[in-house]
Amino acid sequence: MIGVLASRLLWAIPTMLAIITLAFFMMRIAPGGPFDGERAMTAEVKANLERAYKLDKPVYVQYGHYLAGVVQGDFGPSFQYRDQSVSGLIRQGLGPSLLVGGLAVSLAFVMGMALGITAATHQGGVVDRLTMALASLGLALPSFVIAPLLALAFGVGLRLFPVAGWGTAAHLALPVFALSIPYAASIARLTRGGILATTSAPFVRTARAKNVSPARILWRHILPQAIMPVVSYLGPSAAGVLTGSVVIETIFQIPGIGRYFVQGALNRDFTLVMGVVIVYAAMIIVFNLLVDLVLQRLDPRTRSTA
Amino acid sequence: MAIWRVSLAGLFTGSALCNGKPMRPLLICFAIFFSGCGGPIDRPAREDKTHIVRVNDDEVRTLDPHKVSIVTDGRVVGDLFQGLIDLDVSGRPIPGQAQSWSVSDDGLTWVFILRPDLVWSDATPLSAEDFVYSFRRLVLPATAAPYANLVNGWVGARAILKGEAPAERLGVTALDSQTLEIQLIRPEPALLNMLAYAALVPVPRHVIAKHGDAWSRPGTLIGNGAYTLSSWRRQASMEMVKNRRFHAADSVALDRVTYVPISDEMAAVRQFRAGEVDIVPDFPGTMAAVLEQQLGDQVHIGPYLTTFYWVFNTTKPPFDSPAVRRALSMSVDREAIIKSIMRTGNAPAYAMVPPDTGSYGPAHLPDWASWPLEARRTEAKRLLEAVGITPASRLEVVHRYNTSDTYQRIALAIGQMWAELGVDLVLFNSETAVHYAALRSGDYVLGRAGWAADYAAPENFLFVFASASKGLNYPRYRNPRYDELLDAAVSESDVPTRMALMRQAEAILIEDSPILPIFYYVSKYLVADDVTGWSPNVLSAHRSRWLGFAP
Repeated sequence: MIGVLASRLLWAIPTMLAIITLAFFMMRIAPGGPFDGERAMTAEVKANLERAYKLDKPVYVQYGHYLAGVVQGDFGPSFQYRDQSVSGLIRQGLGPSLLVGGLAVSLAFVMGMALGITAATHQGGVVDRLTMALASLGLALPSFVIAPLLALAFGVGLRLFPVAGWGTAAHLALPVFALSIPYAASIARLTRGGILATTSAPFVRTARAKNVSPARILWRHILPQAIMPVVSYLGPSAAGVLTGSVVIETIFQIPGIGRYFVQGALNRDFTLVMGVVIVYAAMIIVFNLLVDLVLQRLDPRTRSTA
Repeated sequence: MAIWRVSLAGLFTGSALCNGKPMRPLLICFAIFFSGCGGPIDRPAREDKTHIVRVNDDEVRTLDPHKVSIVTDGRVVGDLFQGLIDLDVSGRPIPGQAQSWSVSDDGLTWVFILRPDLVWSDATPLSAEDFVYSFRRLVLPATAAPYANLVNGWVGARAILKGEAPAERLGVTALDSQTLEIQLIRPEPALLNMLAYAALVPVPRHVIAKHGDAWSRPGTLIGNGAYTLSSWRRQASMEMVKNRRFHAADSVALDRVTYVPISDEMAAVRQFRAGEVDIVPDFPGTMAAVLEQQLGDQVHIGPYLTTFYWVFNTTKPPFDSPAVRRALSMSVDREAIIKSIMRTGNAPAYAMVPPDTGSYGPAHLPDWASWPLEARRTEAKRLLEAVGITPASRLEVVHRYNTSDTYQRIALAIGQMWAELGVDLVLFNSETAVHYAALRSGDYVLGRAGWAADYAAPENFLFVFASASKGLNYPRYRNPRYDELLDAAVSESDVPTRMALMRQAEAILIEDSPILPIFYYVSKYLVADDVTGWSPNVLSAHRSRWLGFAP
């Protein structure tokens, strides 16, 4: 177990290096630079800016410089937010993204499981069809449609929650719900599918034959098996949700890091994009590792080989 | 298509409150999608009359005035700092940290007398030396100030900016602790307007000496404006409280100002309707009519010193021919674009300098601007046929623009207007950074651009197309006569003569048509009806020090 963990973590180092290198050079290959904005600059001013950010140096020198910084935990200065370091920006933004994302994943898990179990236990019936239709709708409606609708209905209309902003628990309600919808929908479908696939498995038939109660069969025998696709799905998607959603963060004004990814890329804020890429990549690596560990616990077949 | 339009309009206008009474959520969703009711909205008024919440159109990028490059930053810097000159409620220059000034007869030497007993928000005295330090820091190459070129007309500035001279060579001297002298290489009648700009406020040298580049972060930032920064949660809100040490603190009505960054215009409108914010600095032009219906005179649309135009690459055929450029410019029906696409009553542009820019007066109009559209098209056809472009021969032109629905629609409209002349417009969009990199490097034939005034002076628009304007002169326009006239104009201290020379220069520019001006922008604001001290102005400058609430 510890051996697996150590080797996986060791592998993470070349993986991260490859990601950083690829992202770094892809950013530089893209046309347009951080100072090609709507507001034009005179040649002298632009030259001074490029010098200040060492953009006048050859790209490989910049790369070496950047890597050396990253190893020491310094992601460099942001090009766009000029008096801020990228590390500082990420430190400030990660908390809100993790909070909203964590709550959304939890809510999605609870809602999705509940809907999935309900649908599976009423297979073929009206409840099943309704639940699955709801799940399809949740998957199909993009968050830039759902989020403003929620804000209009519960914020402007009913005045139950703030339309947008940050600071109190009430501010979390709408973004967390909006963010959780598509994930809840996926989880509901995966749970339903998983349960139905497991129901006909030999060990379930054996349990039935031994007259085990249906509830115990569901919770003790079917679910641990049926939940595996959900766990595999949750890993990478949790990494995505936790690092922030640009749409949700923009519409509800959440001070997270999701917006930095898109804005940074559009503004060619090289260091900011790199910083977010590194955080995102690290999260994916960690979550995939967690998923594998959980799957090992859930599946008796993998336990002996581990 | 039509149905989608209706539902989209519903989505954005969402009359969830048809008659002031809340409805059930499902009903609201339907109402939103199929709304036909656009009656007035009952917006809750603010209870705390000492605290205003303003929307900023994006996250502030820096609070270091020397690093400011966008309006978003300038807006808050204007509350936290004050330059020698400030702007009144109408955007006109008024005494700021300076109480009076005088200018020499040749217009080259200005002397400013500071108000007595000025202090920074931490009570450190503020003297003329602070201004000397600040102006030098602005032009130092190491500062890399995006607006350093504003002071190009000051003695020594350009050489320092290029790293060819030490900062001490800048023509700014503290004659004593309360007297500051600025020396110019050419007269600058608009100097006062310029001095009100965010990049020309003083920065606290005692704080910068201690904290270096990190001085402008919350906790260390010290200013001299009407407000001081109390907290800043990035992407959430910026809180300011009244600066009791501000020289005019007694006249500042509001104790607290909150700026919330909202880049999604629709989200800002929703928050305004919910009464969560009091001033919104922009909204989608397509919503103007609906908002006016719902919010009445809380909607403000006014002229703004910014020009929307297309640029021709004058080094590439067929746009190396002034006649072709002029013909295409002539044949564009600006009124139609404004009426059906912009829908915010913009003024049509036939020239670069917007109307009422400083002392410039009305905008320049080429003679053809007053012709009927048919006559303009006939003349355009004649000019094009002379160089072999006819409806039968077809000329394909690629138009580059930075991705935006509005720009795309404008391009489609113009493409249609040109089709009958034998010109086929091909649209090519890219993201902002790519677009401007292409314009800058000349990798285009026809492109979209815009220019906003940093301060109200015509030279601020016209210098863009001088041969020496490297990096700004996208059309690569070169006309020695234009350069000469512009040089003569900026060397002239007599304002009427100066303006006359500028008008002559602009007449040449428009005759040569390296640009195709289309319209002048408008500023679009939502301002709660109980807010006082707000007045529309062409600079779109609204200092919080003037704001208050009606009792």
